[in-house]
Amino acid sequence: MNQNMLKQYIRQELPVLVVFFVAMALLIVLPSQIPEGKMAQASVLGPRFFPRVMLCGVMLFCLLGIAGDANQVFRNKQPLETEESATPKHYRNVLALIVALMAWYLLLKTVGFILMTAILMAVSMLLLGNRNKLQIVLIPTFFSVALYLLFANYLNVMLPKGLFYL
Amino acid sequence: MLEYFIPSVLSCFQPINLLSMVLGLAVGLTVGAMPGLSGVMGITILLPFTFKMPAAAAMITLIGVYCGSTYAGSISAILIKTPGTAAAAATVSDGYALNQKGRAQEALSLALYASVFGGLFSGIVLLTVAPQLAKVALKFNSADYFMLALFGLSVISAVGGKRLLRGMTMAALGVFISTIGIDPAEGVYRFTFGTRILAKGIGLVPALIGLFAISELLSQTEKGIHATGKTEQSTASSRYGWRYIWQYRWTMIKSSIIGVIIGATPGTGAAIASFMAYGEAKRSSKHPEEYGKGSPEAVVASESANNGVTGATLIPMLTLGIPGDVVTAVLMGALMIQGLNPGPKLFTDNGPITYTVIIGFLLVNVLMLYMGKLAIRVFGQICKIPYSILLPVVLAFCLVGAYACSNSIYDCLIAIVFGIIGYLAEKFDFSTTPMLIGLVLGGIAESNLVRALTVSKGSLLIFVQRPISLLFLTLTVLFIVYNLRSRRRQKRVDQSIEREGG
Repeated sequence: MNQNMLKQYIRQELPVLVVFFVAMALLIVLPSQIPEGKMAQASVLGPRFFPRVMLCGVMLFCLLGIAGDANQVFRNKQPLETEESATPKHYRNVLALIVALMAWYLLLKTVGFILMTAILMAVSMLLLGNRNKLQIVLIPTFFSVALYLLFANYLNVMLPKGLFYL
Repeated sequence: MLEYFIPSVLSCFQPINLLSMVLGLAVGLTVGAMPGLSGVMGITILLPFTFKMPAAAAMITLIGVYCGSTYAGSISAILIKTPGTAAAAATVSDGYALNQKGRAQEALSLALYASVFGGLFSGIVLLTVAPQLAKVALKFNSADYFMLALFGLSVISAVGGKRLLRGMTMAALGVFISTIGIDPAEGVYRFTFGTRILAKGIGLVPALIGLFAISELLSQTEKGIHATGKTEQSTASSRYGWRYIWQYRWTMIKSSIIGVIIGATPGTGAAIASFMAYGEAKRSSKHPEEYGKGSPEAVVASESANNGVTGATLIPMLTLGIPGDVVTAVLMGALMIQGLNPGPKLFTDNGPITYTVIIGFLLVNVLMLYMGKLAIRVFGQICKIPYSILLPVVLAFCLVGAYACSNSIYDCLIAIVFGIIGYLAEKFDFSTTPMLIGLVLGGIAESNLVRALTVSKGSLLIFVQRPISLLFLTLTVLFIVYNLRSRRRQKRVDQSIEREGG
């Protein structure tokens, strides 16, 4: 058994295991999240039926997937297909963008749409590698104002104005 | 019908009706191409303006919005990997892949021509066999609807990605997510964890925006790319005219038929039709391996199906007074505001207006070909913008689009969370398309399964006793078996090529 193949197998199946355990956790908390319906006494149906079946389905497919891949790697000695790209990864940037998105969501009502969207756009431009200062200032400002005016005035979508009416 | 035909054609060419078509299409193309803005929103915006219009002109305006928005969803799907509407969800993977190969113009033109074909096909069906088709569609009961949803879910065997079991996992997760919120049968809350955010369930459009657009932004950020999108030298769409699309005629016809059947069935929708047509086109294609990687045929299939739905949804609405979806419900409201009562008598009591609307529908689709070309040229410039500018603008649009769905900030959070899910899923070889199919069909499947089993007192025989259910069950089994066999065959071919190469 090739050590690399084993490592690759574990790396490939880890996300599947995570999904499996998430589904299992949801199945465990299901009774606390869904009250038993009146119909449940008469038959198998009720508000819990469909979510339960689906969660069991998720777990079953995960297990079948893990078993199938194990068969391919350990029995047939075939490596799993992976798409390893040579481009360098910028995981910190992804994390920074997720933090920026969450900050946008949390501060939108307080700070206002125009200001928060302009900041978010500027941050994402920076993270995508744009270093042109003029573009980073002008484009987010213009677009967030234009979007606000378009949606608030013509499409009746009331975007949050925030404390500064921005 | 014949006595109304010529006066109705002449009426359609009156300046007010022609102007109504242009206005409706302009609004439809704009809202459809903007992620998060739906045809319903466009129709609702224009509705007050139609109150003082003549009845036919008012309806033609709104139908213009409907057809334009259904087509235009593909523009943003192809250019920025964000389907403007749920109906264009099946177009995303292949349309965007074509764009990435520098074939955006081809994809946009194919989508336009296929949409026009699908629209005209459904318009002709609406004009000729509307009452008969409506009668068949009305015979559907809950067991038939469940089987129809199951058949829709079987499409996953074709679009589940390289690893089918991971695709099926995502589909089951999608269906599970669709159960969050209020239970359709008993009205109890499910998996809300005591929060208001989840109480009304997961909206399809915010989820769609997250899965396809925000996830793409995250993955581009990971790569750190700030180059320009690939574009073709020529922006002339004439290279991809009718003559070019003629090679896909059978795919268009088949997909339009699927669109018409699904559209005439109340409670379904264009998204289901396009996924089914996609699956069927892949099954019968000579190059199924190209699907998902930029197949022009796939774009043609999904677009002719979703526009094939547009005319067909009007069939139960006009002939029986049954709105099949939200759009037709709003259109029905507009019809009633004009003093017309949808139903069998509409064709006899208000024949001239009704046939003017139907022929107007056909003309709207013809006009869409020209206005769509203009829209392609305008929106086609998007490809020339560097990603480091384009993607943040798209992000802002997406977040506003998610917010606009129900004027709620919670929808933005849902879009962000689904963006993260989509990014991680693609990273670990989980295809996101099955999750979307699960989300679309989950509600229909569950409510009809519960209803059918309640009626049959738990007996599963209800699903094989009726011819319609049995037909869908057979089709589902055949479809899955066929796709699994082709997968196995493809795998064997790949292995033998690998062995020969090695």
